Amino acid sequence: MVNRWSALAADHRVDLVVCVAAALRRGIKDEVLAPGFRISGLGQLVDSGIKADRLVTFGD
Amino acid sequence: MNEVPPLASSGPKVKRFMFVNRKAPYGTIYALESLEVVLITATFDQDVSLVFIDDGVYELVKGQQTKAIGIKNFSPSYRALEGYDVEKLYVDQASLAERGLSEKDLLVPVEVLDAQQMGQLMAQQDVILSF
Amino acid sequence: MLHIVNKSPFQTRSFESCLRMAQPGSAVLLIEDGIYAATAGSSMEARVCQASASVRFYALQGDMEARGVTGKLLDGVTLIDYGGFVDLAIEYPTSHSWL
Repeated sequence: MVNRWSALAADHRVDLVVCVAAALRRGIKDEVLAPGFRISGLGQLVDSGIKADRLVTFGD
Repeated sequence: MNEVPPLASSGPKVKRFMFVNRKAPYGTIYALESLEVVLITATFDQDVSLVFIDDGVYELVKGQQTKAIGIKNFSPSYRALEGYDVEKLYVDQASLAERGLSEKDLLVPVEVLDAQQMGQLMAQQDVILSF
Repeated sequence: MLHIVNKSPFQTRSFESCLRMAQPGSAVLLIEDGIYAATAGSSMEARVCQASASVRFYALQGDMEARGVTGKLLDGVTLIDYGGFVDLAIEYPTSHSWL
């Protein structure tokens, strides 16, 4: 599954952003991220919500 | 709640953000993570509403004492929201009632809405984040 | 408004709360385990049929096929693929995923 995300990022220039707070809480650090993913903050999510004309969310 | 008042038209874009909380606190991380996103969003000067539906109403119950379970009690943060200009908190009436709760059980002032009113409020939002 | 429900109506209250609050003219898209709400013969059938008078119901085909229930699709629920999902996201500026 992770490989499919990395492929999406490469093929379609999609930005894959991981929340730093959530990552740290789950013991995930920069070094273990697959290609195409980068760590940023929650502010990026909010900023995207402001700038994008649509936001669709998926989750548990 | 029929008229949608215009948002400020000068300056940077202001959108209506709604945060939907439907899970009880402490059993899962969602209530805390939702609050974290709300606090960050508050710094962006957007029009923020928080709604509590189903087990989410439990997040606002007074008197939470978490020492024995070793988790930090984050419920005071709901009271601190006002200081961040996040003052629009809404609770689903049916969710309160079926849990035997009323407004006086809650640790912050809220507006209680019925399903129709809550649905209309949702329909007015630009961005909805659910936890 | 595009409401998206991904949980079984028998596992959580997500679908029920969505139905209580969805306004006329909105759409409800069932994905993942949410598709079970669109299956005939369950205790949700009457609720869905009644609600479909004012709300448009969709179910993601891949999720129904995965679960072996495509043959039980309720009348009044439209089967769509991922392309159709994108079309709905385009049609409705705001979405609400009931997690």
